Amino acid sequence: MAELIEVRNLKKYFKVPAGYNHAVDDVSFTIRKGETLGVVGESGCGKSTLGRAIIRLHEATDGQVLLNGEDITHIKGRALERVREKMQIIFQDPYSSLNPRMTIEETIREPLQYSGRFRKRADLDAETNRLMDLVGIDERLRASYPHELDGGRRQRVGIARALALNPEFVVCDEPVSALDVSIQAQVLNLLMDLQEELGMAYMFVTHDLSVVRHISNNICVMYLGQLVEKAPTDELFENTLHPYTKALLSAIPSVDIDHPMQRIQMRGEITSPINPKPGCRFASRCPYATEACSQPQKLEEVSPGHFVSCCRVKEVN
Amino acid sequence: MSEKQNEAFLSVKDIEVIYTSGKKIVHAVNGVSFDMKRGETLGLVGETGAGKTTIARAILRILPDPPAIFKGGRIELDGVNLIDLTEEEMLKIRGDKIAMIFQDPMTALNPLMTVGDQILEVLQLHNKSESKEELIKRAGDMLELVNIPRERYGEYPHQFSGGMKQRVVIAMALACDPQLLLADEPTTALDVTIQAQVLDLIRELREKYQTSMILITHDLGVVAETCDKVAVIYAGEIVEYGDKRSIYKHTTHPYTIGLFDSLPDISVQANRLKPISGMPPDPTDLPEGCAFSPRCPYATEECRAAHPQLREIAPGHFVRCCLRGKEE
Amino acid sequence: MANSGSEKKAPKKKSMFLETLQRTVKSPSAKLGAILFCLIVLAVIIGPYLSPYKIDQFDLLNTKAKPSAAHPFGTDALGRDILVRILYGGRYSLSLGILTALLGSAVGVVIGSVAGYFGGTTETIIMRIMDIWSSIPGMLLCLLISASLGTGFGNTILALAVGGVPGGVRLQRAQILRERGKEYLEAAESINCPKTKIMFKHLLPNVISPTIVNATMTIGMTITMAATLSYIGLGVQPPTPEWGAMLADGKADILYSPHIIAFPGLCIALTVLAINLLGDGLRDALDPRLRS
Repeated sequence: MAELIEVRNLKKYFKVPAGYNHAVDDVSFTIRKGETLGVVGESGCGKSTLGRAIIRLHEATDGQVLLNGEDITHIKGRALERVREKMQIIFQDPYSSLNPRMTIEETIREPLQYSGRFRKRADLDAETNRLMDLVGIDERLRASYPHELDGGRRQRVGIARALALNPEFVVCDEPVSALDVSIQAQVLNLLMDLQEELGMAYMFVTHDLSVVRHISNNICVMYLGQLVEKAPTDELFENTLHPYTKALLSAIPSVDIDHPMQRIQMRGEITSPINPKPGCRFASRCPYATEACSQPQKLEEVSPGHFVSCCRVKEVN
Repeated sequence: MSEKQNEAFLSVKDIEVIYTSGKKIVHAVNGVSFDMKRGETLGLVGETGAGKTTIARAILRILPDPPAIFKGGRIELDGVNLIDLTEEEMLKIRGDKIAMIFQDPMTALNPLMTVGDQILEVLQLHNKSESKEELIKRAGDMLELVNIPRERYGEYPHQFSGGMKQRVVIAMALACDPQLLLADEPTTALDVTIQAQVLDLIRELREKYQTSMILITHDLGVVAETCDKVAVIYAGEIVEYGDKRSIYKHTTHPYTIGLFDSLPDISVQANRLKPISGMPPDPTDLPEGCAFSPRCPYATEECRAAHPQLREIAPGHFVRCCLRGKEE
Repeated sequence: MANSGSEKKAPKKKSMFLETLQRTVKSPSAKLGAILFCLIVLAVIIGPYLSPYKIDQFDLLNTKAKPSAAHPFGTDALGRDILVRILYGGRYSLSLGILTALLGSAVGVVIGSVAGYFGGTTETIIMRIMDIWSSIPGMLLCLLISASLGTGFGNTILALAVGGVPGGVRLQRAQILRERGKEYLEAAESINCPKTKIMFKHLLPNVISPTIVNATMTIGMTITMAATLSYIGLGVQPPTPEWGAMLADGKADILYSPHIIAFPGLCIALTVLAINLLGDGLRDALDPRLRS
């Protein structure tokens, strides 16, 4: 299958009073048409920034983003508008991602209006109806305002808005983490159904490894702006290599009361991504860290398709 | 001693709370009862709006009135009905006997006070006789108890990370050595690895001090790791109640089954999840009969007609369902 | 679902203005404000025509008269009927207050929005100018403009509005900064919504409420500020009555003839009250989250 998105050595630094926040630091990966890449990490690891940098909501500091082989990192004007129609985003917070003063119908119709595809009002209305139907929003809610809807329905509106422009690639930025479990499952299923039907590629950004296992073909694990492990989903779960990924997996509270997960004790808390020192950024919390970890780490392929950024990967496993 | 351990330490009986909003009445808690022994941990599980937090607030008597109205029921702590107490007497109970940990550590701390002084303040309120020096030392001890170095006594909340702030909040809650801890989603705002640390800490401290705890959460995994007993709340009612093993291994109520099925399972890559269909009911307009019947795949006419009572289907395992547990 | 739904059309949208107005007067206090305000406006428009007195009709034999059937509000130091002067002066005071608030807020909204939304150097330059602007005492600025431009009605409005601009800019900028990080703005950007449209369609309606409330409060303040200007001879010129000027005139007699100062004062208070009630109602009506 063809590569839809290619990210090459992408960097995004933010200037802060104390220096530079290395939100995304030298990240590379590819996503094929119709596939899902899961990006997992804790808050502040730069996963949301990464998604926004790819779809040009943030301007990259360095590196390249290619869409269908075309470099889109710095395109502007009409070309950017054309590219944006192919890349959309679904946000985490269904409360703040909808304009509180616009009705559901207006919100879903808005992207259609800018696309210029619909000359007649009737066509515009028909397409709006089709989208509402597609994501399962009842017609009678068209004139409602976002605050009158529950979180799950609001998130469906956000999905409809993102799908309005027939994108090829959608960044899903924690789309279910603000929802209750039973609603979360509904929305996840909807996202999977839509992908099957429309053939979009997803980049699924989340902190929840169990959600990502469910929906992804490949998974990237991020820690403080860098990829620490990258592998096909089954490979990652069956053959977890990086100490951080292991710790993350072991920290998930399990509902299996007979076989509780053996927890890997991690020291301390996430350090600051501002002016990080060279060397492994996880070393300060890693139970296996040694002198060698203060050297810069490289993402290396240890088995086909399985990349790890850890100099002690052999000793640890 | 052993006799005292066996009798109910906290006994909640048929509490009912409504909220008034304009002409509408929100039925937040509709006759919830449970007993807790000393040192036990009860998990209250349910989705947003199920009434979990309202139950905790009712126990602590910090319901905002208006709009909340406590309609009835008894809350007995060590044989004393908290509902009968005056506000002054209740002030002594809060903090002295019951402490609460809130979900958001960012708003629970005063940004203009050092974390040490905030713990000190709690200690001073409850230990009027001791000298300030002594209490400052105790506040430092409390920080160390939650794995924060004593040297950080003089720092302000913004200098702490989210997990550390929540640990400070826990230190404040434990400072007056409460007998009952109400923890309202104490780890929901935290990252998984930090959540693991905080849960471990809570568990450790609970064992050390034999504190009873009510843990409110929507996360069945957190309950599995922390609680002895579980009450599943739906539309302001307990729909299933029992010890952890009966709930997790002999899940009976269709709602609880649905909750477990909705969870993505980390150990297998299934294709689709099995969500509960529909939405939680509108608490201003609860359905006739069983509140879960509109979403229940097994619902019959009987379910829609009659409101089911909580029934004991196995020793200590209660279920509110017309259909389930009858066959046994 | 699709075919049955497409038949029943969504309820036709009423005109925005009418709908807002309807919602505004829904709350009892806003209704009171609206009625009061309409009455005041009506009175100052028609009132002077119905009165048997003229605004500059002296009656030197009957000065500082207490309220009576002939002079319901009494007479002033020159024996002029206070009621007719209040009604006539209300035209100036009201239009002065409203136009000044509108002008000041509009300028504040535009500059503040630009500063808040675009940020960076633009913001720094604008805000430093505002700092300098607001470091000049408001009254002094006002006097400066009045003195250099002359005393006409338009110039008085300009002079009064200028002092309120930095506050309006700061308020608007703070609101924009609070809202700027919200995801719906990013969403708008990603669906190719033009920048100006993001600002006016998405951002502005969500941040305008505090400015509306601020503007209503400015009206009251302006009426009193205008009084000061009149007092030192830079505002509306005598014998044209104006509420502030009437206050100033009556000041000397406050001990023995308090009615001279009381009635204009009461009128200012009533007007400000009506406008504030209306402003609160308007704020609520403009927010769909508070409807239901």
